[in-house]
Amino acid sequence: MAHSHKDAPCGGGGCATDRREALAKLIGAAGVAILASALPACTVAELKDQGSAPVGGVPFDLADAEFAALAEAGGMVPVDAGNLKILLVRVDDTRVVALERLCPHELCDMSPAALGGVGSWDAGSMALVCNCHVSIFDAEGKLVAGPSPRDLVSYGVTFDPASGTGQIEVESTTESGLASAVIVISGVGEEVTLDLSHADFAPLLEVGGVVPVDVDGAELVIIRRAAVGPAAFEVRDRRPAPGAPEGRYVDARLTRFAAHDLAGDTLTIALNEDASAAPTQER
Amino acid sequence: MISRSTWAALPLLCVALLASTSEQASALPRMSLTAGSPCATCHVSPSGGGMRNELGFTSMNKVAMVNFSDMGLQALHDQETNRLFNLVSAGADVRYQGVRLGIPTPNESGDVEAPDFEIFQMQVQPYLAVHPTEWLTVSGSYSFGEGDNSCQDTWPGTTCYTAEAVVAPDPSLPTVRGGMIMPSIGIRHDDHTILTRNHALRQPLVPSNYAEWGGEIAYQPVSWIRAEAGVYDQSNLDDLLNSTGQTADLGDVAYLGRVQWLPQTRISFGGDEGGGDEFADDFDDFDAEPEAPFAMTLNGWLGASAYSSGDYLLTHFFAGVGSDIGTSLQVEHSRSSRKSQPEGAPVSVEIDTQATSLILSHAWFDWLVTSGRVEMAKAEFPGNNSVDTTQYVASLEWFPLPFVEIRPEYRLIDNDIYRFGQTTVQLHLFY
Repeated sequence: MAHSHKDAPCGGGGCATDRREALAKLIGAAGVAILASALPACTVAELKDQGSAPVGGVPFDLADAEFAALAEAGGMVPVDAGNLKILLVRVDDTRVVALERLCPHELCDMSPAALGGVGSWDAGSMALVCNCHVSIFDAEGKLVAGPSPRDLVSYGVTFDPASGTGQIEVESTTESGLASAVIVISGVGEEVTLDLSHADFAPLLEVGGVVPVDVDGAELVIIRRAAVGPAAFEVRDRRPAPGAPEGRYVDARLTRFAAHDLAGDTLTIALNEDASAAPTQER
Repeated sequence: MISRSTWAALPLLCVALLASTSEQASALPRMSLTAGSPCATCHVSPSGGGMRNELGFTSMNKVAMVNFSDMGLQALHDQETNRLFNLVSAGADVRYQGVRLGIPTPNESGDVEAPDFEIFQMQVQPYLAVHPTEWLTVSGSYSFGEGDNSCQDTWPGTTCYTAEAVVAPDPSLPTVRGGMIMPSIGIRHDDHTILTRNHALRQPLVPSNYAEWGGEIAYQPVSWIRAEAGVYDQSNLDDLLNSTGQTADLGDVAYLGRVQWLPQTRISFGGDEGGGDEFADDFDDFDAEPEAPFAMTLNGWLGASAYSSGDYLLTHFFAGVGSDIGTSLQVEHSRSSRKSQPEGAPVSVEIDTQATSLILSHAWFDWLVTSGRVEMAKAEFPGNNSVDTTQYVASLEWFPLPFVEIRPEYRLIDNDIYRFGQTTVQLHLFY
C-alpha cells in the first residue's frame, strides 16, 4: 500500500510505525538488489530467420502465370528470393532486368499497382518510377531523379526471349550495380568503399542487416538500423577496449550521426577516431 | 474539492513527474491517475515536465527510502521552497543509462550476440524560472549533449532549448503559454521509446525534446474537463519528417487540439463514509484513518488529441484509471498519417503508422514503484510493405535518497527482424 508522507515524531506508537517502515525499506532494498542481480542473465538476442538468397540464381519462365506479365514490354513481376525483394521488368523485346524492389527512400514497394505496389514503368524514358516520392531509376537501377539516397541494386539476368525462360543471378550484378550502390567509410587517412550489391553486403539492403567489416586493422560492424533517417546505418567497433571493463567499447554512436551525409549514391560514415588506432574508452 | 487521500498521494505524483522530466522523459501519467491531479500541480509548465514549482519541489524533497529526516538533516527535509528571493528558482535533470544500444548482430563465427553494454548520457538539462508576479512565470531549459556536442540533438526535430512564458491569472481562467514549447500531444510519457510516440521501425513520431515556437491555451473550467488548443511553427516538424526526403506536405503552421474528461469518485466498503462524488474536506488531517474499513478515490481520464499540419496528422486516444492506493492502468493508441505528392508525382502517397500501449503500475511505497507495459506497433508503407513490432517493458522505480532515482528495466523487443531482450538501468539525479 502506498504511502503516507507524514513525518511523525517517534513517540507513542510512532516507534512501532518506524520499525515497520524500516522493515519495509529493508525488504524493498533487498528486493531491488535481488532483482537487479538476476535480470542481467535474461539477455535475449536472436535474429529472425530471414531466409537467404538461393545459390545459383532464381529461374523464371514466362509460360508460368506468375511471370506472364513479362511477355509484354513494360511488364513487371515481384520476386522474393530469400531475403531479397526483387522486381523483374521486361524493358524491351530482348531484355529483362532485375532490380531491388523496395525504394531506398521510404521502403515503398515498387511492384505494379495491380499487385498493391507503387511502381510503374515509363516506356518512353525507359525508367522505373517509384510513385511514392517520384524517385526515378533507369533500367540498370541508376538513380535519375528523386529523393532516393542511392541507386537500386541491379541483379544480373540471363534471359532467352525465344524460350521465354531466364534466371536471376542473385550472386552477381551488372556493371552499373557495382558502380553505384556503395558505402564510403571515411577514417583518418583512409577511405574504404563497400559495394552494397555484392553478396557480402547484401544484408545491408534490409533493416536489421548486419555486416562485419575489417578496415585496415579496425574490426567494425555495419548495422542497417532503419530505412531512412540519420540513424539508418550504424558503425560499431567489434573490439573491446584494452584494459577496459568487460563490455566497454569504443563509442561508435557518434558515427551514426555522421549518416546525415546520406545523399546521392554514397553514405559517408565518419569514424570518431583513427580507424587503425587501438580502441579507447570514450566515456 | 479534493479528497484527503488525493492530497496524501500528491507527493507521489510529484516524484513521478520529477522522475520523468527530461529530454528522454516527461510527465509520468500513472501518477496523475493515482493522485487525480494535473501535471501542472507540480510543474511550472501547464503541460507538465521540466521545471518544478514549489509544491513539486517540497513534495519530492521528502520522498526517498532514506530521506533527509532519516539522515538527521531536518532543515533540508523541511525546506519549503525552491525559490530564491521569491523570484527565481532553478532545477536540473541529469540522467545516465546503462544499456545495450543497437540490435543483435552476428559475430565472426556467425553466432548472434547482443550489443555491448555501455553507459551513456541521456540528459543534462538545467532549468531556470523567474516569477516576477504570481500570475506570470518565465522559464527555460537547455539540453547539453555528450562530449563535445553542445546540444543533445539526437534526432531531427529535436530542440536544445525551451523558453516559455506562462500566464495563469486565476484557476478559473484559461492559462496561456507561449515561446519554444512542446505541444500537448497525447500523454507525455516517462519514456521516449514508448511506441505510441514512435513507429514500428522505432523512428520517432514525436522525438524527445521536440518543441516549436508557438502558443497554447489551456482551460479547465471544472475539475473534470480540460482542453488545450495551440498554434505552432512547423520548422522542427518539417525537419523530423522531411530532412531525408519529402514524406509529408506540411502547412504553414501546425495546430493542436486536446480534450480530456477527468472523472473522479470515492468509493468505500463496510462503513458509513459514503461514496459517489463526496470528498473529504479536512485537508489538515489527512493522516487520519478513513472511517470506512476500505475506501479509495478512483481517478480516470478519457481523452484525445490531434496534431496536424497540412497533410500530416497525428492522433492519440487515451484512457486510464487509477486509485490513491497506488495502482493505475492506462491505455493509449496513436495513429499517424502523412501524405506527400512531390512535384511531378502522379499520385500522392501515404505512410500510416499505429501503435497501442497498455501500462499497469503500482506504487508499493512512495519510493518503490513497479510498472509493466505491452506495446504493439505497425508501420505501413506504400505497396505491400509493412513492419510490425511488439515491445514489453518491466520497470522498477526506486528512490533510495532524495533527488536520486535508480530505475532498472527489462525490455524485450520482438519484430520481423530480431528478438532482443535486455536489462537496462538508469540513474536519475534531479532537483
